[in-house]
Amino acid sequence: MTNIGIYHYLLLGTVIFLIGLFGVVISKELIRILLALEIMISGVCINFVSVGTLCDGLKFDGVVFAVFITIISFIQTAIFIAIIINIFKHKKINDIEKLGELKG
Amino acid sequence: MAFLILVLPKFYQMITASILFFGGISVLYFGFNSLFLGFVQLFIYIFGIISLLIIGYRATKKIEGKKPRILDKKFFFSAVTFAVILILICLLVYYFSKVPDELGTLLGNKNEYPRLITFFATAETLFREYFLAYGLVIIAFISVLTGVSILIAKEKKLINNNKTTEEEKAND
Repeated sequence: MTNIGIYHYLLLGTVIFLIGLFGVVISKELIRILLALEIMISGVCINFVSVGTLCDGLKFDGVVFAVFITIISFIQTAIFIAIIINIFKHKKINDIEKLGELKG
Repeated sequence: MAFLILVLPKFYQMITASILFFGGISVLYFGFNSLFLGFVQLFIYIFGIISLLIIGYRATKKIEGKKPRILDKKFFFSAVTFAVILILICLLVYYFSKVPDELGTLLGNKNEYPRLITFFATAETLFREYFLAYGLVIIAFISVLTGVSILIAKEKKLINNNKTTEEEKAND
């Protein structure tokens, strides 16, 4: 059986990041965009944790980075949800294509 | 599972896929021996998903004026229960892979284990080598199959209910 090395985990993280990026670009609903962003962040965290765990001399750096990223993403999600709620309250819109007031 | 989140049309389907996906990511972190990160990931995202469910429920109730069908209580509780059971199983597997080390310390010599403990020791090696590599794939595969079968069953039930309602209306 082939040895599973760091490159497999980096590939997994990259694939998950690309799926999230695809979701952000394609999605029209705000909540779906939020979830796609979280998927991208998960992909990045997987890369950090795998490098931190599987590379010698970087024992806790990757995990610490991932913890910081997770906490910041949690704050970002809370702000995003607050924005979604306000948009829904005032405009009754869930579709990002209909939000064009700031367009030049 | 990440792709399913983006593709599934209904709100509760998307949320269920999210629970399973982020549970799987937490399992991967447990496999990397990062217990703290795994628990942080798990609780933050499950908390976030429950918040989204409550917001979606209240928003839909306000707009439509009635309780939304998309957030069927039975499905919500079954999805959360399934996610909790999956995570508990993964934690048990992780603990199971750790047990033989402690037993070895207690009993002194791994080669003198009784047959059951020898099985545990072999399973420990297998889990340590392969769980980290393939565990996430297996869990994702199982969760996709289970999620899809739950969704198909729910859709069939809804279709049957709609057919029955239409037939009753036609008879009237």
